[in-house]
Amino acid sequence: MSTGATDRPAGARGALERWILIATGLAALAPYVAYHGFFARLYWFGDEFDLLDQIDRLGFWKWMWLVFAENFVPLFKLLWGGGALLFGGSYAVMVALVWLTHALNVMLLGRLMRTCGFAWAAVLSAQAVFALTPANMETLAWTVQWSAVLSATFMLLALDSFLRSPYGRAPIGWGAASALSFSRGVLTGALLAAASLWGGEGAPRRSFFGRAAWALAYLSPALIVGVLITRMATGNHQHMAGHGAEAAVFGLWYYCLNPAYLVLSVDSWGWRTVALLGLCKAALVAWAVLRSRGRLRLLVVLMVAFDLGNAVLLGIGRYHTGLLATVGSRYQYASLLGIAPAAGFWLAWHWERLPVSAAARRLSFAVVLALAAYCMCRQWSAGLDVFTATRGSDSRRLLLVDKDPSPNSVPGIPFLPMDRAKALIAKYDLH
Amino acid sequence: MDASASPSIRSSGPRWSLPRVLETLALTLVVTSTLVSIPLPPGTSVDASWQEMLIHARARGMQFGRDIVFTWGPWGYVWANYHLGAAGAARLLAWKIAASAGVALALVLLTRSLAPWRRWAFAAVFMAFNWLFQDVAFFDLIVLVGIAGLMPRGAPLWQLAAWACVLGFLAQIKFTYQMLTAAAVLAAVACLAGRRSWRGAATVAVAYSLSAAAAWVGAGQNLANFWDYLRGSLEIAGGYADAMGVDEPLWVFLCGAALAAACAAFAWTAWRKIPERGYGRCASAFLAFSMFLMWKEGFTRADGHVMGFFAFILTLLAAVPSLLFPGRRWHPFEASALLCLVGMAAADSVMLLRAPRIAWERMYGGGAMVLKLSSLPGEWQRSLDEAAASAALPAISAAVGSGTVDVYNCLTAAAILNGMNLAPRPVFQGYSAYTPRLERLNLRFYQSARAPDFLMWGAEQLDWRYPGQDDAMLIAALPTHYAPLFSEGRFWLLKRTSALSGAEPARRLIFNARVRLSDEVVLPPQRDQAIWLRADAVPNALGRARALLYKPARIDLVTTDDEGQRRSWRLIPRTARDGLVLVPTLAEGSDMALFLRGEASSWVKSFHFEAPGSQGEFWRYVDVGVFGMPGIPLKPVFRAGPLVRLGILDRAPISVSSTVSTEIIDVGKGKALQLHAEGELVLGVPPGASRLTFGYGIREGAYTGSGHTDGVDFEVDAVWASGRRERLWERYLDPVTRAEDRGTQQLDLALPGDAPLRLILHTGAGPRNDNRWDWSYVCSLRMLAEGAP
Repeated sequence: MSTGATDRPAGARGALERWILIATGLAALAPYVAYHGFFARLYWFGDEFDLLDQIDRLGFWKWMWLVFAENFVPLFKLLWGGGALLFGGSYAVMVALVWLTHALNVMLLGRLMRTCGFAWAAVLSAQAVFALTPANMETLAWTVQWSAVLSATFMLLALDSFLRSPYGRAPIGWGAASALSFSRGVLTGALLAAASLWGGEGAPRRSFFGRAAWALAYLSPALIVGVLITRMATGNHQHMAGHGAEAAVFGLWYYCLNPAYLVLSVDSWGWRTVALLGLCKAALVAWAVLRSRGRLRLLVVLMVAFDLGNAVLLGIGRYHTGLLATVGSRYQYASLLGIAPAAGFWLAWHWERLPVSAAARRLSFAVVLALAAYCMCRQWSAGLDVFTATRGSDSRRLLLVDKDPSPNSVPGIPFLPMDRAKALIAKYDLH
Repeated sequence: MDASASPSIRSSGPRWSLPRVLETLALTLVVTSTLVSIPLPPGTSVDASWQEMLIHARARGMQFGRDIVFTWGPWGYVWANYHLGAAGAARLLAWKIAASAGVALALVLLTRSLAPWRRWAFAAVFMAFNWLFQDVAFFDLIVLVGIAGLMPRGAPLWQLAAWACVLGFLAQIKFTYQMLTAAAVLAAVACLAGRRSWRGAATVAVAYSLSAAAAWVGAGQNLANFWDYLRGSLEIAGGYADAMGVDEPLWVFLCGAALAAACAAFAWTAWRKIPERGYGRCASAFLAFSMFLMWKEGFTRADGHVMGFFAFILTLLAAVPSLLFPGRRWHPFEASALLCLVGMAAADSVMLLRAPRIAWERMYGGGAMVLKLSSLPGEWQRSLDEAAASAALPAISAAVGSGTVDVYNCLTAAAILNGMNLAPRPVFQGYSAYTPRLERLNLRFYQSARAPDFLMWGAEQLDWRYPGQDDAMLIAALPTHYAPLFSEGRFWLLKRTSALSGAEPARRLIFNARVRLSDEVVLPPQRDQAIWLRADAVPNALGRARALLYKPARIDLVTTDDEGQRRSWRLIPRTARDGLVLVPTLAEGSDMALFLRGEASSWVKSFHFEAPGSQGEFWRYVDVGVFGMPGIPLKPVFRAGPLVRLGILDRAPISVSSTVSTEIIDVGKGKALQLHAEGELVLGVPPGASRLTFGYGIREGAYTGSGHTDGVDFEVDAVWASGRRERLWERYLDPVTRAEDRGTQQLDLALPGDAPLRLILHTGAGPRNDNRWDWSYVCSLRMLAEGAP
């Protein structure tokens, strides 16, 4: 094994692989298990009150189909709103759902990479960082972000389904689910279409028109959702005139800075930092694309395209929030997913070339991976202490304990009156 | 000898023949003529000072490492660009010519295995550009000795020993060369050891060590001081980048960065592609180190120094690729010559265009100097006399007499040219005491019996550093031990009155803070002692990477003084970590004189840090410690100049005094003089003055919030030459109880027609004689002639 890639195993080894992937999924829950005390502090916050308020005012089914800002996400609303009602307002269960979905994503990422022929070293290192980095803190500790996590689940399912049995119908459904879970989930359809049109080595053999027809089929749910958003939603995309440059800069900064900025705890800020991290990222991507072959290259390219597409859409949707927002924890999930295969491939390729015996290489890799995983888990502690204080303990004290809170002090949503928030808490037993 | 080895790494070059001998002689002659430079007449500039100091140190037998801590070594004086008259001139000239000829001959011999056109091209490029930066010639020589002299396969031991001896001598010229020659020897020893040529490796190591020791001793140095010299020089080299960095224009940086990348690629290619692995790796590693060293040297203080990097690479291009890859006619790296030229043009296009002419003038001048050798000492003596006359400090010389004297900050030439008994502190250029350890060396010198009787204090500050930051520990230790005598020229003469104690001045912590750039730090309002500032500026990861690969980011200290004046000063992070005298600001010699008398005229009110050129990206925060210095009590002395400049008065007052404080403050649209009651402002009355107008009042805060002034009496008295004194006007302001007494009041007062001599504006403490909140002020004071608007 000298290319960072390996053939797909079969038989008993296939079963072993499945168990390993399941184990990696379970391992992804390590921060949640280790710091469940912190997570138990968390409480409903900001947009979550807004969603509950809308459910209460509009009724569940009408609310589900409502378009707001740039979002048309009925599937996410069904699951999120259903969860809130079904689990009796327990925030702990909602957070657990997010983590379980994340664990599933970690497993699916590993499965997808193995499907494409990545070596185990590449798969495990990519999974480890994606699973355990505290850069994902806001995504995994604020249930509104379940939208992005769910969308990633459906995207991974769609890609895995396509790569295992190309030109099947299942990816269409997964692509639609992804688009209906998260506004940037429309990218899944585009990725499937790109994979269908892929003419390189490792791609299924079909005529161009055949591939184009399938591409259109895969793209159609995304197109429909995209048209709906364009026509009905009121996000930034409705008034982009004169803001193209701002959106481009925001997207560029987002793409260059993430996920290295938070994962590596970079502490400088400015164009030089952007240029340096951007050049490193571009070099990594270029190296991985040039060095990889077959389906491995296809996956690298697709995930890079996903990352770039995400940067473009985020630039359009969030350019008004200021450049500091580009490194927000809530935006790391997609970026990590986008670069993980290329980074894992790079690491595995170089590790394979260490001038030591294969056994020593494996042993040292296991030790380094275990150490890195441990360090990443430990890093959650400090971040969670602050995060769960502001998003949990303080909110609980203000909303549940304080006798005379200020009328517009509902955490994260100042326009919602305190009385209304207390009414929602009482009605849905938010706890 | 290995017959299969590629030509570049064979020990012997082409066979000697008469034409080759003649060619070698001719090339040596022309190269020598460009290396022999005519020293300039003595001067008192910064550069002249340290170069003349090298010659002075040689003449006085001063010991490097003990008496002098500097990056130039004991043989550095030979390459000084200045002379010091007829004394020692013959020896200096002999060394200059012999050493230049030696360098030239070595360069020619080391390149003799190249194709003829390359030999001449190297000589031509070298002559055209080496003068742009002094180190280029020595870097070229050391690199070529390393690659072509010490590493060839099958070289005889005598040849290895000879080249190692050359390196040993070069090592004692300058500490930078010491590092580079040591790297060359290490690489050569590794290369020879890799070939299992143990005798060769041992020969190189031993010959280098012995020749370095011989050169050290030959320069009149004691071997026991060598270790101290290395440590001191290493300390200076380590602190240089922090303190001396100067930014270059963007285009120069881009050219330099592109060239550096090309150099790295070439070194990497050499590492991988040279057939003999050991030789390839040692030669490429050494080459990469030399390029990195010159990159750092050139781009740290990127003024004229950047030319060094471009010129060094350009001269190497003519020889090194061909030496390392002898089978190739061209190497892609040679295309970098274009980058070198573009970089030079971006840095100084005029200099580049004039390069051929200057090279010719140097050749011509060098030849002319050799031809009139006998008359040079006389000429030098005459120019020394002229320089001494123009730099004469008769009063200081007379006061110093035969006593010992040191010069602060760095213009030691002033003492040398005045024939004084110079006894400099070890780091004799204050600005190069870049680290706390170097500062302590100077402090210990003053605490020792060798402390000078006098100190000539000059206020020059390099790169607009905060005054008093250079040698800050020494400055803090001077009060009560040195007293100001008088000023002459740019110097104040300070005289030692008592020996400095071994302890550092006492400091009492006032507060600690962790601040970000631009966070304003306000100092306590007390004006009774000196303030010591410790500022530990902490770079982030990007800042550390920048410092390692390029140069540290800059950080400035921005002070706001009592007059409201904001000034930006360069901060030296390493020494600021241990601290500096923040209050008073010793911007001028007179400030130092006041400081030593226990007075101060300039008080910093607040400060913050800034990073120029958007370099804030490289800093995390600054840990600040503000300390009072109870051992250095200070009394405020008011300076009248700003009162007129800021329009508070229309003329300089005779005196300003207050029992509490005088301070310039903002009121409404302008500035005012706070004359805290009891206060007095005395003014001379100009002829023809008939009216006095001014604004007055009590500062807001004295009657708002928790302020509760009991009011202030404002009075104007006239005083005549006869001694008669008469009250012209008075008013009691009580802004707490009377709203109309708040804000600035206006007075237009007619002056007596019988020519009073002075007017005295007095502020009194009010009916209960309680002046705790009596923040009285005056502003816009004018004395007008009849008919003036």
